Parts: sequence; structure tokens; C-alpha cells
Amino acid sequence: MSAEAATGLSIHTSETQEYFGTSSTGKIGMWIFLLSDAFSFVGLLLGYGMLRSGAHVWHHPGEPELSVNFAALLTIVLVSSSMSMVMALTAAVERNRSQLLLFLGLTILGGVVFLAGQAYEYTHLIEEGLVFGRSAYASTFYVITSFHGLHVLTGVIYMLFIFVRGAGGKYDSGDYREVELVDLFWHFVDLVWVFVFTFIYLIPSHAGA
Amino acid sequence: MTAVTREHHDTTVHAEQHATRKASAITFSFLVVLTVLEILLAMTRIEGSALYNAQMSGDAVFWGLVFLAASNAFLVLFFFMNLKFESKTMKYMVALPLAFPVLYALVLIAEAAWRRIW
Repeated sequence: MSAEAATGLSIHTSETQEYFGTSSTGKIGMWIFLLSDAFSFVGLLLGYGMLRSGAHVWHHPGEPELSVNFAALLTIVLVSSSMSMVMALTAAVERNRSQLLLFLGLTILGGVVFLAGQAYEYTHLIEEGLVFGRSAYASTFYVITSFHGLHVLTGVIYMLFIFVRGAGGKYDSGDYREVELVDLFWHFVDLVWVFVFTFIYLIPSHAGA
Repeated sequence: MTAVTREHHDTTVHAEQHATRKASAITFSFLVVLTVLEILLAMTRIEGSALYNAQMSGDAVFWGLVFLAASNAFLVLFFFMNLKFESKTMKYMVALPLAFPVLYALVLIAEAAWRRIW
């Protein structure tokens, strides 16, 4: 029996249950939203790929290299925060308020550290000459990473909202559906970063051209 | 719910969540390892890095990175986002629309590889 069924949260008619199992309507809605959001990122990354593959010179002289090591650190922060989000959700299912708040707090901290890291990175890159609008390399970098950063910021605000509700005892009854939704959103932010990290940071700009 | 039923229910929930935490910890370990592999692979084509190897094929590195990123994404999608445990309809609802841009991306990458841009 799934945990959701065990807590008696299934609200479906037999018809919806046939297609969506015990998923809440909110969860189905969140998946559809994430799918549409995924298309936004796919569009941006495909546009980046086309610009890059069609450019005679991608990385102009004088423009700084992106720091793979620093981005790797941000990646580990984000993946770790995904793990703490899993811990937060399991705590919510177990009706353990203190653990929920602890792990949700750690996830929020991970998001804040990521945003601070991104702000630090932008500051340095701008000082070193990577300016939005001066090249496709610079513009695609800022558009894609800031669009992702906006998702991280949204996730942090969303998690703060859930944290406050959790602190007020909202999930003590075992109705963890809201936590499940923020959990999905946060993992999606992690999922997208996997591709941003690979395509923007890891493909070397001078290699073999 | 009686006290006995409640206790049984709580035990079931704890056991399920314990299994979820264990599976997630394994997924997390894989994600870290795959990310480290990605970085090491990328380093072989970054001039100035300790692992730089001019003989390394750019195509092999690129497809390796794509494969590792796709593996990472699969792990997050299936185990962190629990798509593995969703109904068939949910799986198709997510996978089918995404299959087209993925196919397009593969064509784009293959075409860029043909022109050897990296």
C-alpha cells in the first residue's frame, strides 16, 4: 500500500484512479506545470545549441572562461538540497514536524547558498568582461542561468511558505500533499540544472575547433 | 481509527519511509559519482587542466557528457520525483511530450558533431 493510500488521502473517483493512481489532483497539476516549464528550458537550451553550433567564433578574445570548479560546487549544493528535500517529505509523511522543519530549513539554506553563489559568480564575470548583450556567449549564459536562478528563487520562497505552514502544525495531521508539491518543484530545479551545468559549463569553448 | 490499527498504520508508514530514504541515499550517491565523472571527462578537453589530453576525441567527450547528464536526469526524475512509482498514464504524460524535443536535440547535436564544432 502506498503511503498516500495509507494516510487515507486518496480523493479520487474510480475513473481518475484508473489513470492516475492515488496521485492528488494538485500533483497531476504540478506535473503538467513542470512539463510546460521544461519546454521553456528546452527552448532556451536548443536556441543556445543552435547559436553555438552556427557561430564561427563562440568565445571572443577577452571574454572570461566560466569556472567549472565553482559551478561544480553549486551543483553539489543543489543535489544535496534535493536529498534534504526527500528527507523533509518523508518526515512530513511520518507526521514528524521537527524533522520536517529541520530538513526543509536545510533545503532552503541550500537554495540560498546557490543564489548567493550565482550572484558572486555574476559579479566576477561582469568585472572580467562577460557582459550581457555583447556576445551570444555572454547573452545565452545570462539568460539561461538567470532563468534557472529565478526558479531557485521561486523555490526558496515557495519552501519558506511551506515552512511557515509546517511550523504552524498544518501537516501534523498527515496531509502532506502540499509538501509533496514543493518537493516535486525543487527536484525539477535540480533536474534542469543537470543540463544547464553540462551544456553551459562543461562543454569546453576552445576544444578541437 | 483504533489505537491498534493506528499503531499498525504508523509502523507501515515508517517502514515505507525508511525504504524511501535508503533508496534516495543510494540515488544521491550515484548523482554525486556521475557528476564527478562528468567533471573529470570535461577536464580532458579543457586546456590548462591537469587532465587535459589533446588526443582525446571531442566527439567521445561530448557524447559521454550527454550520456552522463541524461543518466543524472533519469535518476532525479525516477527516484527523487518518484516517477517510477506513478501510474502508466502519468509516465506517458511526462515522457511522450518530452520525447520530441529530445529527438530534435539529438539531431542538432549529431549535425553539430558532423561539422566538428568542438
